[in-house]
Amino acid sequence: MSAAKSDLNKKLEELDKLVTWFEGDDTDIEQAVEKFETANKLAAEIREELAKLENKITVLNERFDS
Amino acid sequence: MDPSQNQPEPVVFGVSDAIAIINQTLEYSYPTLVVEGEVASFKINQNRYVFFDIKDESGTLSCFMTVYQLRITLEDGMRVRVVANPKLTQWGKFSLTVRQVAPVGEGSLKRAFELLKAKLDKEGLFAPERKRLLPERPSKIGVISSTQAAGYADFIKILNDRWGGVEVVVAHTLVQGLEAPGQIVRAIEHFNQMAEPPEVLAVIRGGGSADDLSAFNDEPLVRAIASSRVPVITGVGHEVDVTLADMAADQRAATPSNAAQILVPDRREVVAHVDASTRHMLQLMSRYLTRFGQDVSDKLSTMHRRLENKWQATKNRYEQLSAVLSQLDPRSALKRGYAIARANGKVLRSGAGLKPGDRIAIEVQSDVINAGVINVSSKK
Repeated sequence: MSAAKSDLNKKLEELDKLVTWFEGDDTDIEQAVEKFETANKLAAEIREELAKLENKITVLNERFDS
Repeated sequence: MDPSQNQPEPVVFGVSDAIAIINQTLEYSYPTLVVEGEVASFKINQNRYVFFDIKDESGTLSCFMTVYQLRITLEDGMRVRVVANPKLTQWGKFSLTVRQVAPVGEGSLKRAFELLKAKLDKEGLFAPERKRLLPERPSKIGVISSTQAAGYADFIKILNDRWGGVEVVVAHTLVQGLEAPGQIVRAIEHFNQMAEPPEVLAVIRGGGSADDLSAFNDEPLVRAIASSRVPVITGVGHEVDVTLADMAADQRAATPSNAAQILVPDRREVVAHVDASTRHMLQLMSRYLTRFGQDVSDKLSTMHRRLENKWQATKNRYEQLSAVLSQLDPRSALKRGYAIARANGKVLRSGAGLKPGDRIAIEVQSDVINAGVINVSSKK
């Protein structure tokens, strides 16, 4: 399975969640600083992964004649 | 000499044997007979057997097939091509045992399309409520296409250009001709039966003539797409070509390239989204910090105000107490002209106990006057 891709999907979802948190009313400054650092780290990783990820194409050996 | 004596005896067959040998000869000479003509006297018996004639201006042939082999909806007057085995029945009737039948020519193709569309629409196969959402960023995509087709190359190119990390599993099938629908159906079934099926299936074929694309108006194929557990996207032909397979799919893409665009996001757009997200968070963060700074400063000034108030209250209280105390000080009474009389060091509050000639001391503001008692008289 494409573990790398799943990982990327997770990271994108996590980043979206962080943005939503920042848009909320909770203003705990320590949490905000911590979450902001996490988000920056995630964004950097996503950019890097997106630049190098390639699709894996496999043609099945099965024949589908009757 | 009788010339007939040199001729071999004619072989005499029983009727069944004669039928068998004729069928053998037919099978040997025409293992597959492809005939084109117009359908007449079409009928279905017991919901299982299909009978029709195929004719041209001067000839007519009987045709027979099962309902299961009939992949399109036929009607009289439709021009078709049949793939059949010629056969003499045991009742001596000649007929074509049809393996495949397909409409031929624009009019027939259109008519077959309309008939099947109406039938499947009535069954609800194209209903919008049946459509499922495709996964937003699929990890595994099943592709059904001919790997030699231009449409397939376009699809893969756009897919690779836009996104990465996807496991793309390709089932190579024919995408036109009589064999194509059956192969595509089997590929759909194959993907659905996988232990780890793909999250979405893409049925891909580039542009072609109406006849080429008629493979995607095949009834079992349309049903297989509608009943696939894995959601299906079709990218068949050009934008103007709408097939029944497109109508039954969860999503129809206008072209193979468009299917790739729908299936995966563009990595450039995702990077832009990530950048926008971080910028947005930075703004929010700075707003937080400003608000936090303001909070701290507000708290400090509240504290300062409170301290000041407290100091003022203490000061006021001290001043009040000082005033009271100063009034209580005997020296302030002396200042106002009062005097303190003492006898033997003790303050006198009455004249009782004093007799003429006793000595007393009288304290005024500036001096102590020693005096002698002349007499004592009560104020009463």
